[in-house]
Amino acid sequence: MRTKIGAVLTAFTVSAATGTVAAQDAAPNEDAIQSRIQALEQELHNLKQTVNTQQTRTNENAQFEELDQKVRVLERKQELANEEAAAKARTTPILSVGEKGFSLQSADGAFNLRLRSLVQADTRLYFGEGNASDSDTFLIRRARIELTGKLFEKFDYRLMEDFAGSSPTLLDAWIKWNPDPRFQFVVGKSKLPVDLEREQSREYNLATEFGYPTSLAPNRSIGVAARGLLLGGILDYYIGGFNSTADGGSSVTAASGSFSGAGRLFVQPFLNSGNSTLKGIGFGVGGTYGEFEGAPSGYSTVGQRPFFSWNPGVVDDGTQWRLLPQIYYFNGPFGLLAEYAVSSQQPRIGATQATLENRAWQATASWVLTGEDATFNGVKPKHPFGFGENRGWGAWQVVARATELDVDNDAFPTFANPASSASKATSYGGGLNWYLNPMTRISADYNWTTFAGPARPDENSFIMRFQFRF
Amino acid sequence: MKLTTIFGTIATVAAIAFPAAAKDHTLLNVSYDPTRELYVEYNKVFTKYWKDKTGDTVIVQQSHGGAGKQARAVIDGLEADVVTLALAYDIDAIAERTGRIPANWQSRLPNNSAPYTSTIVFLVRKGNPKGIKDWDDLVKPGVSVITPNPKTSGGARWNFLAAWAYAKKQYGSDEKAKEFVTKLYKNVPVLDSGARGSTITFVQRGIGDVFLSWENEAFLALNELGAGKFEIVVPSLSILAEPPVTVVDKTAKKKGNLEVAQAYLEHLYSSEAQRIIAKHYYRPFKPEDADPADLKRFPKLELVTVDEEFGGWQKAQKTHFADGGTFDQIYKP
Repeated sequence: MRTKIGAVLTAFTVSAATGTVAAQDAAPNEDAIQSRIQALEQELHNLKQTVNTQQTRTNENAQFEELDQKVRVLERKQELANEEAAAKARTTPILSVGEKGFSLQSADGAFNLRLRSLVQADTRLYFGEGNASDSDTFLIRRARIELTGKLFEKFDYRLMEDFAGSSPTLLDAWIKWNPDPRFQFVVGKSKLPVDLEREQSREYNLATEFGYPTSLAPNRSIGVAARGLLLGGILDYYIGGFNSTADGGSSVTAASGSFSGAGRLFVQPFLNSGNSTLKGIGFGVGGTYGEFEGAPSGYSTVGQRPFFSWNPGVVDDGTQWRLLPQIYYFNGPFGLLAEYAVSSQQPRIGATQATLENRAWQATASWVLTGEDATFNGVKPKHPFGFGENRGWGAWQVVARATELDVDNDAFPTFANPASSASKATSYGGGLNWYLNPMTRISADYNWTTFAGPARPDENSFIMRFQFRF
Repeated sequence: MKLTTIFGTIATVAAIAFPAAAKDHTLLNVSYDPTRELYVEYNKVFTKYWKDKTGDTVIVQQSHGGAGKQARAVIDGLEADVVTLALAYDIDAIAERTGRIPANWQSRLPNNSAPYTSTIVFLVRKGNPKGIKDWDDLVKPGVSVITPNPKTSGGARWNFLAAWAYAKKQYGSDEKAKEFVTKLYKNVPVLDSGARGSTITFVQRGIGDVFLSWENEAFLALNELGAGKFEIVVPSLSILAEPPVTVVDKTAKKKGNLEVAQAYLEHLYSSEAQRIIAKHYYRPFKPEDADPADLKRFPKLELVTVDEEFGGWQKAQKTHFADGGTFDQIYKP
């Protein structure tokens, strides 16, 4: 631009000089010269303006570039901050609180710890002849704290204590190697899932108390087991070895040489089919076989009052086996659960020993009045109880059950007193479950129980339960 | 029932469910930022070499980031079988704090366990609009310099030391060198955590006038990331960068990978690997094995070493990059 101005000035000078020479050659016309000077001055002015404009643009461009760089730097810093935050999130443990309790999980998901609890507060009332009101009571049926979790991605663990009794009881303490859904290996104290009702999580049982087949099955014991799901979940197998236990009992330590094998096969043949009517059917058989030396268990009604006890001095001493065929069916709001149990044991008193077979069965049907699906894993209300959007009355379910336990008649009178123990208890009951939300449930059961054996009045029991699971 | 019967039955079920696994190896190579492309190609060569030699299958997983961050990750439990980092100090730190690498690790492979070297050069925009020729141009007002954070990046520490070495030679003292690098870092608008991040800042985000770069990274940007958009400026003095490699013995042994991990690093010195190294713009330890055309790309320049100029990495780290060191004193974001 400076060159252009120089050229104009040169032209101006040359023009002026030319004018002078021309003036020497011819009479100068002052007006013409003046006019040309003015024209050139105007041209010079215009050029200066152009130069100034371009200079301004150059400055503006520089400012723009500077501003552009500042914006880019700010954007990049934000980008780096976001990357850093994302990287940090990948290593920051995750704390969560929800329907499944409190949980703490490592960022990579390989470790976690979950804290849960189960509280069941019961009211028990008994009616009718021979049902003394001093049996009526409030009680805490269960008060469990449960720690579960995962270690190194492939190991699960569980520690559960129940504080409801007179002293805390360690219910579960196991670790499970979980390399594949087809094979899991468990060591420690755990539930023996040979019967259907105990296999169901306690919070989901249809009735407040177990039916009689569960009284003949083992509860918890210490040992090792393999378990897995084959054929895409259709076949559930379980096999293990445990310290032997009395019917319905749990083992804390082994009696000498008292070990049992336990197993269960359960099939859901239509699990992966499109047939919605049959999809919820499952059946199988569980059992135990081994030796048992120890005190045998008595039996109680579904109203939780004892109706059979062994004579003092009776011990189990010999082969013990159980067989428990079982079936369930769930379809929409309808649910059915049925099982049969036979338990063989060899009680001894002094030198007298016998082989006894006690038998039990139950059939429980349920219907969810509010339309939710009934499942083996409970009922989830569509509209939890409350007021406001998506709130409602929770889920309501009616339940009916018939169940019976028949003690081997050979138990009398050597091993049990026929004057005080009944040889059979048959119970018919109905109940109502109100699922306020996935964590809270109120249940009420009525059971009428008749007995065979000594003159024992029927039992009419009413149990109401408030259950909170978190 | 006998316990032996119970265990026997369970073992039988387990054996049916789980047949024995094939002999495969998965190696984790934890490396610094710009080596991605080099190891992608080298891993293919090595897996074939190992398959031919032993019949075993090797899968090499790569992890890249600023060398300091990568070393920290290994110290914190990242299960690297081998580390191929930007400088020896970071491997020393892993050895000291985890005990997973023996103290004499650097003497286990040739050339202080550095199968390749590199240096620091300048990458500028096409036409070099700011007329940058040497280190002095980087401290001028209005010049924007891109370099990563020496706290997290090995390459950034090489950059810092190269600038310091130049200034000390040019102006005669450590005090003057400190003034020089203080001015230089005033011209740094953003610190990435690693060299590849700085490459993105300069090349893709269009920030800065000059990028202090690994030589290999500068060539990569010049020829592949932004062809025709940049120029390399070779300063009058730079530093000889020796990125070392070593096996993380205890981790590799625990994972059953010790033998293959050792072979993985030893094979870096093979003719085949040295050729790949030069191809990816690293200066090979054995240039005679490289393609002469690749070697021609490397400019000749005066290079100082950390040992001669700074008394070794331990001292350099403590003086300049440890908490409260020179960098903390001069850099105020």
